[in-house]
Amino acid sequence: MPIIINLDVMLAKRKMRSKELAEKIGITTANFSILKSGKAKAIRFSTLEAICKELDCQPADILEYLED
Amino acid sequence: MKKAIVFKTLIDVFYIFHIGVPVYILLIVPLEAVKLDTGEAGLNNWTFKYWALAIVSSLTYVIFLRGLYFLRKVARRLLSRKYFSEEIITHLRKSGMHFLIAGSIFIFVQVLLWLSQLFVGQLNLSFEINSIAPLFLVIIGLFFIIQSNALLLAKDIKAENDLTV
Repeated sequence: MPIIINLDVMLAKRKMRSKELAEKIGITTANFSILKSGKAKAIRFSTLEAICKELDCQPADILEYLED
Repeated sequence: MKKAIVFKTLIDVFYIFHIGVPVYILLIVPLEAVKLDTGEAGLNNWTFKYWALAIVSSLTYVIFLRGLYFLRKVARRLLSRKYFSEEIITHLRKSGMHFLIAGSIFIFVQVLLWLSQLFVGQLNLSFEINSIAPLFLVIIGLFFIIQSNALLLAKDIKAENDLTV
């Protein structure tokens, strides 16, 4: 998929662990893993909002479009 | 869950009955333990029309049994509550196709019989449950195919929903 998830980059910048962020935004670690690995088919605005709030960033910092 | 168990049990009973009766007849008839009603013409005097009718009806019955066999498989999978599994979808579709084909052939044969009776001026029109059963079979077959398509669509939606974070 041409949409790249840069969650691990942002997590590293904020020095936060995946499990910690998953707990803070209220999703399971399994679902967070799906999102981080790019296997997710869609992301809810509420989840994106929670991630941006916790990581203090913009959606564009997490999502990136790369042409095939 | 109880409904699925009842459904499976009924399908099993229906299937065993339908498999058992032809086997019973095949075993008993050669021994002449039962007397078959072969209509006005005796079995030895059957014309090509009667033999063709018997062979087509038997083949159609086999197709119907195969449809029932697939429905049995569906009923078994329903017990595990995996409603959107690939197996249920394909078997439901196969069952529907078999019922549709069997029903269509039965209707075709019935129409041919009516026409042949009409040409010799012996047509009797009567309302019997047996004469509308093939039509019901076609309806059920079509419903199963549509239901299978709906399940396929639902499966894709479910997969997408499961991967929405």
